[in-house]
Amino acid sequence: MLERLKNLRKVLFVEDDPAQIFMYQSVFELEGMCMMAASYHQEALRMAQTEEPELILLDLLLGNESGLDVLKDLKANQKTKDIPVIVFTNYEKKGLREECAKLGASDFILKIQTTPVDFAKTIRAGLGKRAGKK
Amino acid sequence: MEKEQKIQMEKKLGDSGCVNKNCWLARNLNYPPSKRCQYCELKFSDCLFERYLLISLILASFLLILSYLVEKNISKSLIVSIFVLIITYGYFFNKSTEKIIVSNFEEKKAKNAFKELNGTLQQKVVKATAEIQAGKTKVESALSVEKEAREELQKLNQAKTEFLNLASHQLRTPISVIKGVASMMKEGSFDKFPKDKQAIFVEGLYDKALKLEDIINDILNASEMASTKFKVTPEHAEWIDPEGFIKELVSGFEPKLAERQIDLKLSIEKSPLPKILCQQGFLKDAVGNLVENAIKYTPSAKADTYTRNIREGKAEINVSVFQKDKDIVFKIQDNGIGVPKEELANIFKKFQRGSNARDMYTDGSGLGLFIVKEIIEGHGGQVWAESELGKGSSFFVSLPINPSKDINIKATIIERAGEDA
Repeated sequence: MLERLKNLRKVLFVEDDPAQIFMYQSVFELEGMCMMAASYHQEALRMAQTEEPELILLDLLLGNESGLDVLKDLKANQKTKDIPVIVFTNYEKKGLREECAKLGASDFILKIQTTPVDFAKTIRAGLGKRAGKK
Repeated sequence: MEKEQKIQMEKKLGDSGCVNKNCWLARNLNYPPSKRCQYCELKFSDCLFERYLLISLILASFLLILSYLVEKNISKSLIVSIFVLIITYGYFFNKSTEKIIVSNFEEKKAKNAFKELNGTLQQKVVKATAEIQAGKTKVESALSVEKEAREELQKLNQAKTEFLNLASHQLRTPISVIKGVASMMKEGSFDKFPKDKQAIFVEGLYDKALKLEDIINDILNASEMASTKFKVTPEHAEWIDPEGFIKELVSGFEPKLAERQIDLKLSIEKSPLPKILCQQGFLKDAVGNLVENAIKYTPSAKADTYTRNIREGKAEINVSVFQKDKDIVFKIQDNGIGVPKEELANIFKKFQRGSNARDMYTDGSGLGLFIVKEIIEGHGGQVWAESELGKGSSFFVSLPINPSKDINIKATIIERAGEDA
């Protein structure tokens, strides 16, 4: 059992809406991944360092905090700067995608444009490729 | 007075028949003895012609006496020649002094005219400068009004863009959950979850549907307020008891208050209060919105699922109803996050939210208070707020006890909506 957990692909979801955390966590688990969730800035930084996830999914509107600040801090930290970050949000405005890319985000995906199962499958496929490259 | 007289004399000087008031002779004769005198202002003692006559007389007498002493005789020819000399010389003297006096007069007149012209010119310049200044001020004030209007418009535009960005996020968030769960049901993965998990999914689905409904209602209400479609029919207006109304309204919030562990105290000043004329459904929306805001923006020891701003201390909301002059006032007071002072004036405008409220909850359309204002003012009432940042806010709704007989709530709202549109 422990061995199986160890082999699970770890993904960190930075999101402040419990309903969404629950939904994506359930589906990712179903697709054989382990999703951890952080709901605010400092928690996200802490978990990125201690849990060493393979991928970070980042929402941009986190209560009174901005996901962009989290992204900046993740990329500024030696320990977390190489973890790929996918911006996963429903917030969109002019120039935002470019800004995220500039700050080092690997991708920008709108939640509304995908379904949880499709998204989980895409992520798992992506992680598989990355692991293959290693 | 003396000056006035002088001006009077100056005016007449040079005119035919001008009497020189300084001249003893002219004054006593009351007419100028010579044409030259109408240009003269000298005293009689200073009169050149009079002096000429005097000196001529002395000289003639002196010559006659001298001739008598030398020749012991005064010849007729001497007398004749002296008088011929005096008369001839007098004639030319008279002519030349007349020219001098007239030219002096003309010079003086020209100087005065020039002085007057100068004065008038200066006055004109001062007047023109003042006019230009006034014009400039007018243009400046018009420009500043235009600038203010432009800035207001820019702010509104900015608020609209921001609203659209946020609204799209607000609408998408519940939809993405609803769509996500629905897609799992469709694909069959939903059935793979245990029953307890499925129940949580369904509950989340329902919550998000309610949230979506709230947001859509807010947007629809606000756009209706700004169009003439908004209908408040006078036949639906009714006289209600404020006490019963507020008691029923507040009881509806009990589950939410219990969930957030917030105390709500209700106080009625005196019973019974005079009745008020209203459209109950709309008034419920308006006052209910204020109570809901008070609950929402009062962080308690137990935060709800949408916020993490947990604050120490007991959250308290006080709702009171009282009579003030000819109005019934509902007061909803909380000890919540408050509104920044500089934003207080704008919170009833469309698409405006307190910046701290926006930080606390990313959702919220910025339309709630706008709707409250439209409804209350449509009833002929008023709504206002007092607040201290970090300490809490008080919102007031006042409705007239005796609305004017021809009050037509529908017409008022439509009229106001027309102004806004």
